[in-house]
Amino acid sequence: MADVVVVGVGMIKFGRFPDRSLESLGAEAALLALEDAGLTIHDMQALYSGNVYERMLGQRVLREIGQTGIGVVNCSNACASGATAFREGWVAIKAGIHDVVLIVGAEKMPKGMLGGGAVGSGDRLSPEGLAGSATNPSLFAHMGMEHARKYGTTPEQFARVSVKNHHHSTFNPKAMYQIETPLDVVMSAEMISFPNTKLMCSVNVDGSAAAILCSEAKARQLGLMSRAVRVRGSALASDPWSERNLSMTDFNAVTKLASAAAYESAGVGPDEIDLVELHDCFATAELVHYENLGLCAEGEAGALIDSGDVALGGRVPVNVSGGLLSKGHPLGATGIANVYEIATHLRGEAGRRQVEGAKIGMTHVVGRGSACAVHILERA
Amino acid sequence: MECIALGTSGTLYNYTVVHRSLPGVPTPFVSAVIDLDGGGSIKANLDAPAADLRFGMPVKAIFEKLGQVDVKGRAYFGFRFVPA
Repeated sequence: MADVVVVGVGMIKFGRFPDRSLESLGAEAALLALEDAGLTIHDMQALYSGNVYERMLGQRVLREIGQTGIGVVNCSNACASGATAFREGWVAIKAGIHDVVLIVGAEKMPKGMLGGGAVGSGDRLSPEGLAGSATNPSLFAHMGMEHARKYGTTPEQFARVSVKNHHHSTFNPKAMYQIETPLDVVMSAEMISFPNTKLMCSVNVDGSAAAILCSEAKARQLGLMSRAVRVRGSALASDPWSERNLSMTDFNAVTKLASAAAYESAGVGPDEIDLVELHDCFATAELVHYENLGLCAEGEAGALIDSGDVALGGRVPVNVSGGLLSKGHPLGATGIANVYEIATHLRGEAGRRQVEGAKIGMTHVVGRGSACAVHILERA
Repeated sequence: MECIALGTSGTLYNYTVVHRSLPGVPTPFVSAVIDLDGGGSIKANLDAPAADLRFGMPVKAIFEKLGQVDVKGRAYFGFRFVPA
């Protein structure tokens, strides 16, 4: 099967764009990725899009940048939508069906808290607040509290994730926020769902990102290998049945399935990963994912954040982009923005936040429902 | 399909104290995951002060009017947990 390489990436600075359409955001990222690769829309053989809250993003982007008539697949897979689109493009090239495709993710986010269902609509009461909480902040608080129950993880350790990612974002001009948040500031911010304060929740922003995927043979033919990034491994999983899955959404088993499959398909182990962009939708989630992704042994995630090994300059820096906590989390764009970040480091083009000597990086997203995608990328 | 009667007592597996929820939902409240005696697991409100919460603490279900009505004025009858 064909080897697949990333030959172009692009993302816009995440923010709030009430006066812009979804397709204009997607088109801007697509054009950035095309320019990065030195290609045009006429070179693209298919388009895979990721988006959650609207419809037909891919076709709408083509109306902005060129209706060439290529096939479009629009992917909706919760927070994993962008990564799912990326993987679908990878599958098509791997299978030999296409050899150059465009991946675009974009989102205009609704305001407020996600999850839990509407309150006061229709003639039914919402179970929110009557039968516990089903909002996303609460589900991911439960995820952290389960870790605290098993291993004694402290609120300070969860909060340090947020201190780290906000610090990283001060080196990323495309992050929504670039503001230092010391530990006392994080911990004394408004409590949302214990132990996550407001500064431990991801930022609800609009944004877009894009990538160009190409077969390695085609990239060589086009002379695009000098800045190419190889997709070493790709995996997508859904949540397996478990005893408590109906009462407490399990984001761990699905991530462990996807990461194991990604490592196996890449033929590399966790020790070979130089940096990771993982799904820090909440600070609690990032810490638990250290174990789910094999960055440390079970029960050692608290010690890992304390050690500094996951900070820029450490053994395996995590979320040097600032992560969802500070860069922002426009759902459909997030998975592709992760690829943008890793590719930028593997190309040695990340400026002040560059992870020195980075050869292999990992991206991870997990969407509630559940869907987990993991990719392992390598400097080609 | 067959109906199975679940236990009305159990232990606290997991919790979070919810300080901000959807608009109109009174806070704070404790969102709890209860492992029921005899098997099964359920998410529910747990009425207990945050300082008293301990993993594994025994709890029991009480059934009562939940104090909320829908737009047609119908009261809801449901369950919540309290320390046993």
